[in-house]
Amino acid sequence: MNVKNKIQELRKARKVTQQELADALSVTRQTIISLENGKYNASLTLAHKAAQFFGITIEELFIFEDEENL
Amino acid sequence: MEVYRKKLEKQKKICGWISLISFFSIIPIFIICHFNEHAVSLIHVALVALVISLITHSSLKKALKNDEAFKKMYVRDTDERNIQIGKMAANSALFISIGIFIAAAEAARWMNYRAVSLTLSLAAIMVTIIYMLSMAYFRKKL
Repeated sequence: MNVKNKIQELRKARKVTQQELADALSVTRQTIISLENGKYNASLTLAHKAAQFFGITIEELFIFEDEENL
Repeated sequence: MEVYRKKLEKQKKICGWISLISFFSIIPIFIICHFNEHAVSLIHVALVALVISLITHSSLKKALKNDEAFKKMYVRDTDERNIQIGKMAANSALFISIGIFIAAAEAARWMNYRAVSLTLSLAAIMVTIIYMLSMAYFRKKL
């Protein structure tokens, strides 16, 4: 199952740098880059932290491709 | 973060003990070397342990004193992508090393080094058994 996310879109809209987001989520900047490029799928904990940071739900931040096709 | 700080303090203590033990074991090993020349390899082990434990000890000490260095170390060690990369690398390295052991054992057998071939074959078997036992343990645990 392929998972897409809106991290880059939301981050740019809120004018947050990758380093600032990484610091807020206690991960490295490389993890944020990989998440934005879709190379890495976040764990439930990180997904929860990211959703909390943007003030939205996990379902709004992450899109499951199978669900999209339904 | 406090749990991580306690973990680092514990690791620092262990490194301190290892460096002390390896430092004070060098002189007795030198004495043993006079009676048994095969004990020379023990000096190498003690020196490597001393150097590694001292380097680790100093980096842990720095991280525990400096908040910025501590946060950097915390993020580096707890970053889930880094952890996943480490697991994947360890897994592939394990299978590659088993393959290398088997290839080296075959090469040693071909060159008529029976003892070397047997040792390498045994090492390959042992690594495989340890891997399977660890898998069974973690399957039960998780």
